[in-house]
Amino acid sequence: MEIQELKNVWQESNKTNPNQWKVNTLLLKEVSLKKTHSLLGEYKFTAIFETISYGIFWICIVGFMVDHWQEAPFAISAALLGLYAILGLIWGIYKWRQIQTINYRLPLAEAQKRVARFQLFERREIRSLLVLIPVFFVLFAIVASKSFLGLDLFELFPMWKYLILGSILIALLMVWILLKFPDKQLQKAQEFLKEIKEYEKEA
Amino acid sequence: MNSRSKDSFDNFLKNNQGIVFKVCQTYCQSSQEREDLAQEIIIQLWKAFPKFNPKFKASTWTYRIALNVAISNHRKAIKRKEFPVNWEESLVSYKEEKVEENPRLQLLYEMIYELNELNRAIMLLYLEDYNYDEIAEICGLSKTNVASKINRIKNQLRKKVAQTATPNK
Repeated sequence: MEIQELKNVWQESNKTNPNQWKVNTLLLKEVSLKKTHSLLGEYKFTAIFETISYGIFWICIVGFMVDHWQEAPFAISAALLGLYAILGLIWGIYKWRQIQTINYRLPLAEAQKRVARFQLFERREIRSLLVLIPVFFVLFAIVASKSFLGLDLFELFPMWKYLILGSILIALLMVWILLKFPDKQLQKAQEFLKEIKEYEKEA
Repeated sequence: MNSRSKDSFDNFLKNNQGIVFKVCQTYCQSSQEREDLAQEIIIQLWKAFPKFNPKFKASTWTYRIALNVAISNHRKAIKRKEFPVNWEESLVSYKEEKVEENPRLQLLYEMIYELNELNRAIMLLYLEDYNYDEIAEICGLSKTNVASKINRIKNQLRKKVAQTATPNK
């Protein structure tokens, strides 16, 4: 059987069932009104949500710093959290900019490379958060307790230095766990990116 | 989108919906997945339509969007329950029809499903009789790269056909 024969079989199969598909275009009017769930839409929403959250968090932290700038332990804790919020904000804007460059009107290789790169960013971000959360949790608890409950955790827990040390140890443990158990989705994104590069390469 | 552009999108879709369905059949094996993917592709086409430049060939433009959506969704493997829009009626419906079984067509589909997402696109365009220039434009590859990839796919196809003809070997 020749390739041309298979091609003919394929083209013939397209003609056999014209009524298999039915499109109700009247419903398209509702697309702009109803919330649609698409892959790129999901990415955009996450990036915007993250950016806004970090922005609000940063404003709150700056407010706290202004109120407590004379109390060094609180001011330092807030400054570190503020730095974290700023980095998160920059990362969120960067991610959002990356998504803006993805569009499905681009040729396959280019569009898929951008999608894969974005997925890689996202997985790396999740992994870095797993390390950063334990580090910043104690600082967050200190600032939040003071801010919302008026509690001074430095006084309540004289062993606070050990808490910070403990959180750093947990973060190091997280690093070890992450290295020991690689993220399958991260690997998949890396492999796909490699696949696209191979695909683009001249044979 | 105003009603005038809605009408022109209706016409556009009418002329190009065959492409959407072929892409769905190439990337999905179950009828539900096909319906979901067709729905997502049509939504993306609808959203992108205001940016459609008529100097481009409509089929090339449609293929780019349809294949990009199909590949992204295929990789993410979105489950139906998460899927697009919960309309009471469905935007797209697919009727599974019992067709006369054609072993050669089945063989072709088997072969297509064995390819990775990117080569599957080339195979589809090749079967649809697109020339190398058009395939290169849709896929974002050079013409020589497309030619060598098609040659490789053809050889795989020949091997598969030969294996089927002599299953004991």
